[in-house]
Amino acid sequence: MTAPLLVVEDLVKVYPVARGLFGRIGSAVRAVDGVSFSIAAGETLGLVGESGCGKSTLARCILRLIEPSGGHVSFAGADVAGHRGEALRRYHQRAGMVFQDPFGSLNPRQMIGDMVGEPLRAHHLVGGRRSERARVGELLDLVGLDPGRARSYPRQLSGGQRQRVAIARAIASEPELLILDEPVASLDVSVGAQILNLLADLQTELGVAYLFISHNLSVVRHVAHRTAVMYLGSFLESGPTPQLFDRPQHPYTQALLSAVSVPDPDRERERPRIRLTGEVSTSLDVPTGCRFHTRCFRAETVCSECEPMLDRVGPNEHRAACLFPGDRVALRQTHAAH
Amino acid sequence: MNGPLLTVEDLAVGFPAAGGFVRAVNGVSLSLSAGERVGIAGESGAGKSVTALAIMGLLPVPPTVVTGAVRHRGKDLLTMRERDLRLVRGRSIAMIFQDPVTCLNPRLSVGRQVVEAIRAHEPVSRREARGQAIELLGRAGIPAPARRFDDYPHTFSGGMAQRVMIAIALSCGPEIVLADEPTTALDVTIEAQIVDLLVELCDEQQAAVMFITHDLALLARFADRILVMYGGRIMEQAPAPTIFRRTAHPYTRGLLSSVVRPDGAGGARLATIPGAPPSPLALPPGCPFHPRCVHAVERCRTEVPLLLDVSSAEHRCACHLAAELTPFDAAQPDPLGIRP
Repeated sequence: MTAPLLVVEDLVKVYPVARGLFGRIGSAVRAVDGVSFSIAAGETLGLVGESGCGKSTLARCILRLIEPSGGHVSFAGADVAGHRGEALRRYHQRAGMVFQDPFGSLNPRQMIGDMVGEPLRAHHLVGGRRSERARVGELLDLVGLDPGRARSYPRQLSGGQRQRVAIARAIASEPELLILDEPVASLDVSVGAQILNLLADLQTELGVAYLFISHNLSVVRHVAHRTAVMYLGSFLESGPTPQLFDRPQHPYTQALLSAVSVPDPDRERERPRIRLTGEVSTSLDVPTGCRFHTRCFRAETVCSECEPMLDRVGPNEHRAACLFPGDRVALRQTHAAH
Repeated sequence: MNGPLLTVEDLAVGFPAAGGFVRAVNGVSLSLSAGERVGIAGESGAGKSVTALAIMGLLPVPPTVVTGAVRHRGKDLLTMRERDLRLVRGRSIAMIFQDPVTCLNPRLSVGRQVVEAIRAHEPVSRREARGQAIELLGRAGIPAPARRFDDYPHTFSGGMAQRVMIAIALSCGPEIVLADEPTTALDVTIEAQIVDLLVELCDEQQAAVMFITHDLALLARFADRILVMYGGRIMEQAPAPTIFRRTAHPYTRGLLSSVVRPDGAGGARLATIPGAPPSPLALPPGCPFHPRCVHAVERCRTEVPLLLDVSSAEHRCACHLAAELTPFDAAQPDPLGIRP
């Protein structure tokens, strides 16, 4: 058993919110509120949650694109909090990120080859122009682009091709961890499927670990070895992907899964849906007790008073933060009894 | 009288753009009957939204060139005067857009915007309209509508704002609702609520709904009938179960096998369609799908296939090879024999 590649412990990010005329600090947004997990080398952890749950803030804290307010992030055994200058550069060589929008994340005035070559130069991975060009050609080929595309500009490429460029650029420094923030959300279905296949191939070939962030549960089920469900800055459930999807224990995960459409009209019409009531709270006013209790179909009085821990609910480190975890069938029976 | 409420005949839409002439819609014919829920599926540039905008008469002519006919109650909406068209819009045909937050005026209270929509079409007093608006907002699922009436759009979440848009769209009891990606900007749990709300309200009012989306799985729940568009044309149309269980067109198959299933086994490779959807600026000759189609033969490169009956008049497909290909069943675990 080797040590995990990335270990995140009790990570917190708080944004102060200025209120009033003189910008006095009124309250605080707890965007990430005590998150702990780890990712092993070559593994994919899927992170699902609705908009505003803190997924992207968490990703940025891990890479120290923003400074966390508390907790620890360690990568390959070293705490990244102390990294400055050269150490931070070396960290970013080993852990990178791919963003959602391939239209916004590429410099429109830079040629593709130049863009992919940039991390090679920054991390001194190539000797001269010629070896850079050769390596850029290899990288473009690896992500399924014609190496002749090196002289194109982003506007000459389709959305899928741009996302391939962003991936080529991210893998140029041979990272051990890539954070993928909604990498297929803005692509057409048929093109998104190609990118998912490419990411799977790259993982097999390069052994890179992924933190795969998505609001699309079907996609996460497809790509992730383990999955974590995030709600208002904190994990409500985590576990091996098949187990979590087949036997979700947290009412929120169950509601999320029941909302996903299955491409089959016969099954889709008879499938019961859990309707969540109430408005989605914001991280500005996280409810007391269990943060999900205001929308929960299972909530009892105690849920508004006592905050549940992310406890074991099944084998293989299947955990849920719920005072009344359980299968949906069992849940419904208990619910009917009330 | 049980004829269709709306018939679109051979609709074609084009407009000049920076890189040339965009041929967005190229001969689309469809009909909508009362109480029917029709889904239009397709990727970006397929011509879905432009079709809806053309039906509503919301495209500026010129520079846009619109040909064909959109018949509603014996009149062609394409040749109607703007003044008459305004009466049709809202009262008979309403539209719901993708991004609810930008559709609402940020400087007017939500209630006032619903009242305006009501008073634009019905001669009612402000007080009466207010009462109706509160009732509509409540039916659209806004909790405590009387209290939220005077709130401004920025205090509404995306899902709540879309409920307001639905209330506005339904304010005059339209016979036809065109919903253009109404849930794309929303989270899954909210998406499910909005889809169920649309189904409920349309059943109540017996309105016909045209639901435009890139998400075929969503249509499995919503639609009675599905039209699949590509390159500004209808490639296949059939009752929803037929689209999923007896798929005829190679594009529909590709699209269905690209959809990641929530119940599928993880890790398997997805059967994808090579390449990307064509730009409507440079549509290929012949069948618009032929450059990406694994079955394409010479005829596909030169001759545009017609939308012809497959097994019945209900199931139509625009493919030269439709008769030769075995129907595809997306519900089978191994429909293409590709998954290990």
